[in-house]
Amino acid sequence: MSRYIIRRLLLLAVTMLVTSLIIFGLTQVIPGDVAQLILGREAGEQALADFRAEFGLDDPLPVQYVNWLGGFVTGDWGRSFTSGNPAVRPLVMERLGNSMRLATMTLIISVPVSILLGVLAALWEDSWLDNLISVLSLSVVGLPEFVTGLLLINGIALGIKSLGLPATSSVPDGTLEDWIRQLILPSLTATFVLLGYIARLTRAGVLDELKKPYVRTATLKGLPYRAVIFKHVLRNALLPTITVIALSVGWLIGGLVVIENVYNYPGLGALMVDAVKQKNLLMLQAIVMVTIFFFALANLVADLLYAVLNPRIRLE
Amino acid sequence: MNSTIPVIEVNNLSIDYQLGKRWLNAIRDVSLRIDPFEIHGLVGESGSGKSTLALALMRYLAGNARISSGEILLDGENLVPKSEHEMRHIWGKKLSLVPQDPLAALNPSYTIGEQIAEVTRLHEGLSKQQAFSRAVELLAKVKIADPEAVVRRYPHQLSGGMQQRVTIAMALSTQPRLLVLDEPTTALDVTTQAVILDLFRDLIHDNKAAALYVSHDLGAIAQMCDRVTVMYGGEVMASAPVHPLYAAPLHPYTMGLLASIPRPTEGVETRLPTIDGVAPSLAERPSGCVFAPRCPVALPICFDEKPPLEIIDTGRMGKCHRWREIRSGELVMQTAPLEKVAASLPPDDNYVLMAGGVSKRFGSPSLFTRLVGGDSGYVQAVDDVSVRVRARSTLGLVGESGSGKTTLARSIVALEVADDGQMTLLDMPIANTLAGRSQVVLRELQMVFQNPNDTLNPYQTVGEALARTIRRLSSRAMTQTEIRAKVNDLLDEVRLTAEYADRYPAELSGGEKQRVAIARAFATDPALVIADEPTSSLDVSVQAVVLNLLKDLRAREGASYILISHDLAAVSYLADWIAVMYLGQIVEEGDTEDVYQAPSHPYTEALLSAIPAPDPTVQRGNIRLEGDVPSPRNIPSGCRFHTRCPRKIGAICEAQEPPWLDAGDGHRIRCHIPIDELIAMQSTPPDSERNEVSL
Amino acid sequence: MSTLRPGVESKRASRPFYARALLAVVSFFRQLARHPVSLVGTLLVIAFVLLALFGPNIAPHRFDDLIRGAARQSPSLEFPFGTDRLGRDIFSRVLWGAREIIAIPGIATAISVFLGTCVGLFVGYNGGWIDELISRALDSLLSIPALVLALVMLGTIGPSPVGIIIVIVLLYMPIVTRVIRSATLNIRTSGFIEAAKLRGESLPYILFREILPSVLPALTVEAALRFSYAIFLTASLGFLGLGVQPPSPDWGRMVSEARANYARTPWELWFPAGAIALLVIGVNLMADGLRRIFRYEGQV
Repeated sequence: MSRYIIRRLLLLAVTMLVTSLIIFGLTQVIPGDVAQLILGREAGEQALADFRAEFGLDDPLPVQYVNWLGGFVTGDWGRSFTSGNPAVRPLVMERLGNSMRLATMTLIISVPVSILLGVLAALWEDSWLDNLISVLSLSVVGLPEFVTGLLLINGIALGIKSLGLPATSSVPDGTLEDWIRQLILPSLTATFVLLGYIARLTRAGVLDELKKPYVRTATLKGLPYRAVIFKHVLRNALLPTITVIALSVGWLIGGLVVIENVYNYPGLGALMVDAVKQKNLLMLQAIVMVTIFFFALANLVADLLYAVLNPRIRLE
Repeated sequence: MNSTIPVIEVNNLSIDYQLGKRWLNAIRDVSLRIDPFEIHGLVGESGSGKSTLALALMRYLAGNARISSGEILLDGENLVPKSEHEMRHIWGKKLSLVPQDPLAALNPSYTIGEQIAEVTRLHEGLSKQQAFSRAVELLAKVKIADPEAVVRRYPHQLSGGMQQRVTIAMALSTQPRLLVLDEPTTALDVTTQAVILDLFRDLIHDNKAAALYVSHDLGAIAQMCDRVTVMYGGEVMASAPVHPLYAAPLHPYTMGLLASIPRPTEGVETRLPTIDGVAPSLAERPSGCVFAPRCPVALPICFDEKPPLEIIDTGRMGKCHRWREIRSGELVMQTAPLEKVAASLPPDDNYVLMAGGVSKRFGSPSLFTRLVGGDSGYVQAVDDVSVRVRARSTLGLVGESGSGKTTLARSIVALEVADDGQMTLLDMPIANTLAGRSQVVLRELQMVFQNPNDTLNPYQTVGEALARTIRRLSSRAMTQTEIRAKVNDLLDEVRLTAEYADRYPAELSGGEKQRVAIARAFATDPALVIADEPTSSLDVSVQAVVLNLLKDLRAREGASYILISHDLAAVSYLADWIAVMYLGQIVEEGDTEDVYQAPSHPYTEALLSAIPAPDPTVQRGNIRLEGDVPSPRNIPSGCRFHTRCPRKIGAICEAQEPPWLDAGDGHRIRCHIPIDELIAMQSTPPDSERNEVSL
Repeated sequence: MSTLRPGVESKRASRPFYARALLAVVSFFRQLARHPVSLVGTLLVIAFVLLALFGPNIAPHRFDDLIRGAARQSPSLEFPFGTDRLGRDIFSRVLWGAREIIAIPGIATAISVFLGTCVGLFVGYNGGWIDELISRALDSLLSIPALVLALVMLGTIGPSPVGIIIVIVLLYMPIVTRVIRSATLNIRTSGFIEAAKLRGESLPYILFREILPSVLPALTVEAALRFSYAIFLTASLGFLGLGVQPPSPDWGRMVSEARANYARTPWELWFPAGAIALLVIGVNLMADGLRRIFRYEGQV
């Protein structure tokens, strides 16, 4: 098991290194002179040269990469190109915190609901309930978030407006009420994306396990139905589901670009769109690295969870 | 009928399956009774409904099945009207199942102890503590060494034999009235099976339980059971005490089945009697006698009218219009092998294939392991093995799983690249890689694969598959018409009609697929055909057809074979030279007759002793092997067999590789025990305790 | 059940190719019809593809026609979907926009599936260090969240149809490769593959003639799924303003622009949003139907 963990940690490091190269490479392709782009057409030669010197844009690419990576690892993420040149790290960290709040809320809503739906659909396979859940999850899962989001804001507006929910979400203050007020709509939107996926996976997992001979063994031991399901079937059937939930945390932290845009929520994804539009290189690189880190971390956690819960891997 | 109340009595039970909107009859009008302390065998080929019946006996049905009529009496109480909820008080307590595939039948996420304790906690209200100590006792009872450690293990950490012991411990934990054993040894090697069968029989008797033993293996049934019921096409064909059933079968199906088993004593020139045709599927069962289409003595009435299940005499039932004629001797069924194979040229002294010093190891470490280190993980599958095949003869390669027999064969055809070794085919040296082999070599060396279900591409017709082989490998360019004609010839050779050329593999039965695979192998007129367990997944009656075919083709085409099998009986039917493999090495080789007689390598002796004879009057040998086959990652020092050898003589076996001993006529044995001593030992059994199981 | 008595179906293989193809299509729809929801999905997809092909021909106006005096009209017989603040006919804009939302994901999916199949068959069949290397490389590509990679790439190469296609191919080709690789792994040790090796068949023959037919079910289902995700991504990029640039009528961008005017012209939002929803749902239901037909138990 310890070998397994070391192996996975090593893989995480390699992944981060490779992706950092990809990201750095990609951002270098930006056509045109970044200094010119940022400072505008009327900037003088001197101003351009100063800008390049300040941000190290004159150094050879490998030097730039090493400087950037070294700075990133030691916590110096540089300063933004944008006016006032604010430091990148505090801004990214603040947005990261916001994104994590949204992710937490989404998980609290989506995980229990989707697992319940998936299990019910599997236990009553081919019933009207199963078909309903299947069609609903098939239609909801594929809808872009801006469609479901706008549907929530506007379509159900009649009902929701009377609840006083804001169409744009801001960072909640500490109270539970404000958490719900600010985050319920974006979390629900994200839930729609996750719900179908997790529910279908859970359903498939449960159906898969129900076919296995050990379920028959458990039944023929004389165990009550609920013991067969809860103790024997779900113990194994939910393993892949748990993995996928862990994986989705990575997506929730960096991938809610569209939802944050729809609700004007100041998360990491919204910051990234701004950085792309402003060609704000250092900011973009930092956000992407953070996102990828969480994505890879989620991968790692998913694998470890799976291994811990599964004696066949744990005891290798 | 005697007066004892049977443990279980099934009367006129019928079960239907729902397929789409139709209900198809799967089990028809079955009656069965099992008395206290009786081990009742239920035998049948695949699709006979034996497993469905066995589970239905426990009142356990698949979701799409229903009992359409009949009753199941457990100690006189009818189970049919009981709800599932009521059955849960009977399952595990009075009725227990020993399943077919123990690894799949145990929950992978709970320890052995938890899974056994669950039963006694549920039915006997034991505390967690008590249930665990009971689990330890039960494991000791099934002769598991170190039960305290095993209760804390997970199923995947145990060997197949151990897993099966666990399932029987679990089944016996509540002193059930009836045990249902559903093919419990099918997945095990023959030496392990022998140990498990002994153990099961003793445990069932010790626990004063009755048992239903389901199997396709007539040998295991003969050795295990007191009475036997034979099923075919969802119906009971015959039911009788074990001795008369094997000695004087009254049903044509039973007779055909028994006759089609290859026995080691048969000569090389005989053909096996076969049952023609294939078993009917659920949807197309005949309205008359279900066996009539394949019955050699069927009368017109057999096709029109279903015979009743009649009581013949005490405890004996049969379902045949002609059992009276058979019993009185008016109707003689020719069940002895009658046909002789067309006279074949005797093997000559030219060698088709010579392979010397072949070695193959697996498991190159992954990139990561190479970087981080860790165990090398090599598996030495074949270790310096030499074999020769004479022209027009058959070499039988025998061994249990992990012996390296398949790897050796695959190295010869270059599906695996041997790490070491020189091979010559028809006196030409041949490369170890496929890329290095000429078309001539590919043509002369063909292979028949084990699994009939993936041997043919599901998206190509039989004709396309054969034509492609002919076109690729034939020695001269052929026209479309010539190829077509050759395809038809080949189909005819394997006794299939020309219209099979247009069929897809999904439309063929397992035996037919294997016959097409044989036709494909002979499409190039090869000098040597390697057949890797060609019949291991076929039913006995179908196996006989395929074995006969191989024998006929050898005589007609003058080809040689390497036949790989774990089944010594099937091998002896075809092979004139046998090599026995254990953990990657040959431990004994010689003329078939010599190998079957003393002196033998102790491993060969154990293998022969472990085969359950399909005859209850033949006592099995009493040599049982200890423990499991060691992992090929970790090959024992000295003689590889010393960890399990019942005739180990001392430290020399652990320290030194044994020498080859010459037993005459090329018969060689790799052992430290001198030939004379082996002969002396093997003519008198080592001890007379028949049921000793040691671990 | 698998055996057929002699005489039945034996003529099938000798039928000409087009007859077999026609039979296959008929049996496909017959099987789809068993699950009406899947049939509806497939018909929806067919309808949208027809729209993409002929939409501009049947549209009453060009997408950028500013109709004088017809700004902010609510849906009517003349303007079925209403008009926007500039007096453009929403119905026409949606029809014109169908082409891009189908063509870009369609082309990108086709390229991803083609490349993914070739690479997947090759590495799955060969195994060894090439497999290990390519699998690791694809893993790192997959370890970047899809939208993040898309944003970074479009930020650098600029938003254009070709750019979006490249992004989608880079994102989905590894996924297709994985699916095909694992399907290939399952059958590479089959007897019929080994028999082909023993006949000395070439690598392309084994990959495309022996293996490909068996992975076709997985491939078809995966292609449908990828198509759905590609539409999703294209629409989302359009919504974020990183899709096809104005003035061409991108459904995602139409929705995004319509948000500001929602209070006055809600139809400006509903019709393009509804079109996206219907298209995506249709493709998903079709993919599900395909999975049922092929009894494909792979990825959910």
